[in-house]
Amino acid sequence: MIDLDKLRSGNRRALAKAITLVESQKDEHRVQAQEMLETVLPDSVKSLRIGISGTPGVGKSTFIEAFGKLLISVGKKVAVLAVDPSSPVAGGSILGDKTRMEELSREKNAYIRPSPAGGQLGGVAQKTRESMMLCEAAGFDVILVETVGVGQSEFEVAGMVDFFLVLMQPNAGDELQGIKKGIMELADAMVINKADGEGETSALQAKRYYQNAVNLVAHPGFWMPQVMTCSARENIRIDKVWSMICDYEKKSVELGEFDARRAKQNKQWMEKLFMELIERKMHAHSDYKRVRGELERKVIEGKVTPLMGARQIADLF
Amino acid sequence: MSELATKGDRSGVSILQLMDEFVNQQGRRPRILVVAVGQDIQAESSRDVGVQSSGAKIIATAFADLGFDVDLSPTCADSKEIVRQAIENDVHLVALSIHVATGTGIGAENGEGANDKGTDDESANVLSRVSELIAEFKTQDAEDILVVTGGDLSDADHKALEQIGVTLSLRPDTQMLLAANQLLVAIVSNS
Repeated sequence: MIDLDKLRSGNRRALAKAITLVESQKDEHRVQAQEMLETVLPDSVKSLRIGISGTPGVGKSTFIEAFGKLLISVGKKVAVLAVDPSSPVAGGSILGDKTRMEELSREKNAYIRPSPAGGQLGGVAQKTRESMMLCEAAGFDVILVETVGVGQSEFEVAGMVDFFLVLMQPNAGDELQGIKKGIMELADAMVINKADGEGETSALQAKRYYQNAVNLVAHPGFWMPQVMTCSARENIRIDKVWSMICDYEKKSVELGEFDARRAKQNKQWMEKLFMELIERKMHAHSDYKRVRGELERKVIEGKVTPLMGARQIADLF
Repeated sequence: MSELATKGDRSGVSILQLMDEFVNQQGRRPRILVVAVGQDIQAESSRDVGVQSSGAKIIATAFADLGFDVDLSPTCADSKEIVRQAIENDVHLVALSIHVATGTGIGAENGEGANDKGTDDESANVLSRVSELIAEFKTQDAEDILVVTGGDLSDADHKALEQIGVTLSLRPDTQMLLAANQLLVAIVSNS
C-alpha cells in the first residue's frame, strides 16, 4: 500500500511506488489506483503541464535537461515523465533518459520517471495523465511530458497538457516533411533546436518557413502558435522559451482559457476511462474469450465474414 | 535451484513464458537498472559523457530483448545517485556491470598467489564502491531493491561480493538466458 502522507510530503519512494501502481495492468491494482487518485486529487498543487514532442534525434532530452535546470533556478519543482517505446517482440524496453539528463537527474527539486510505452490498456497517455496528477499531489508544480513525435502518443499527450511544444530540426530543406498535418493544429509553439554554430543560419531559415506555414493556418483561439529558435546544447534562448510559455499562461488564465482547456480535457479523460472500463468488463465476460477465439478461427478459415464475426461478438453484451 | 529456474534455462521460449507469468502476477515487467562500474568507464566518459560502457549496453539490450524493462544510469553516477535513480524509477533490481583490467581483482583478500599481479587502486575500489552502494540502499530505506553484479572476477572476488550483500555475482561465461532466468527468480522470491 502507498503511504499517501509520504506522497503528499514529496517522498520520492512513495511517488515512485504510486506511479508504478497506476501503471500496473493488473485489475486489482487498477481499482486501488483509482481509489488512490480519488483521495489525492484534492491535494494537487496548481501546476503547469507542458508536453514536449519531436522526432527522434531532435534533442528532446537535451532540451529538457537545459529547460528543467532553468525552471529549478527560478524556484520550480519539476517532474519529467518520459514515455519510451517498447520492443514489439518481447515487450521489454530500454529506458535511457537519465543518461541524457544527467545534471537534472541530480537536482533536489527534480523527479524524472521514464515509462515503457508497451501494451497498456487505454493507451500510454492514460497512465501518463494519472502519473501527472500524482506528481502534482507530491508538490511538483511544473510537469514536463516527453513524447516521441511519431504516432498516437503525440496526439494523446497534446490532449492532456496546458501547453504543447514541438521541437524541430533546423534543416530548412525538409520543411515540407517537417510540417505534418495535424502538428500545426496541436502545437502551441514550434521551437527549432540546434540553432548554434553552423546550425544558426539554417535554423533561422527554418524559422521563416514554419512562420509562413503557421500564418497559413487559421487559429480560432487567442493564441498564435509561436515559432522560435534555441540551442539546448549551448543553452541559448532557453529562457526565451520559458518567458513565452509564461506569457501564454498569463493570457490564458486571464481569459479563462486555461481552466476551459482543462475542463475539456477532463471530459475527454472521462470518456477514455469509460472506454477502458467497458473494455475490462468485456474481458471479464465469461463467454467473451471463447466466442472471440472461435470466431477468429472461422474468419481465418473464411467461414465467417469479419462483419458477421464482429456482430456475433458484440451480441454477447 | 528452484523450479522456475530449471524451467527457464532450456530455451528462449520458456523465459518469455516465465515473463508472461510475472507480468500477470505483478501487473508490470521486471524492471532493472544497469550501471557500469570500474576501470574502462573513466576513459570512455571523458571522451563522451553519458555514454555507457559497451558491456553495460550489450547487457541492457539483451535483457530488454528478453522482456525486461531496462533503465540505464549515467556513467559518472555515484552511490547516492544510483540509489536515487533506482528509487525514482522503482526498479526491482540494480545490475552492476563490473570491468577491471585483466589480472587484477576488485580488492578481495585472495589467497597467496591467487592475484599475484596485485590490484591497482582503481580496481581495488570496486569492492568498496559496491559495499558503499549497498549501505546507501539501507540509508535511503530501499533495502528491498536487489543488487547483482556481473564481471570477469576471481572466485574470491565473487565470494566477497556475495558476502557483502550482493544477491548474485554472475560470471562472464554465464549464458544470457540463464542469467535472465536467475535474475527473474531472484526478483520473484524477493517480492
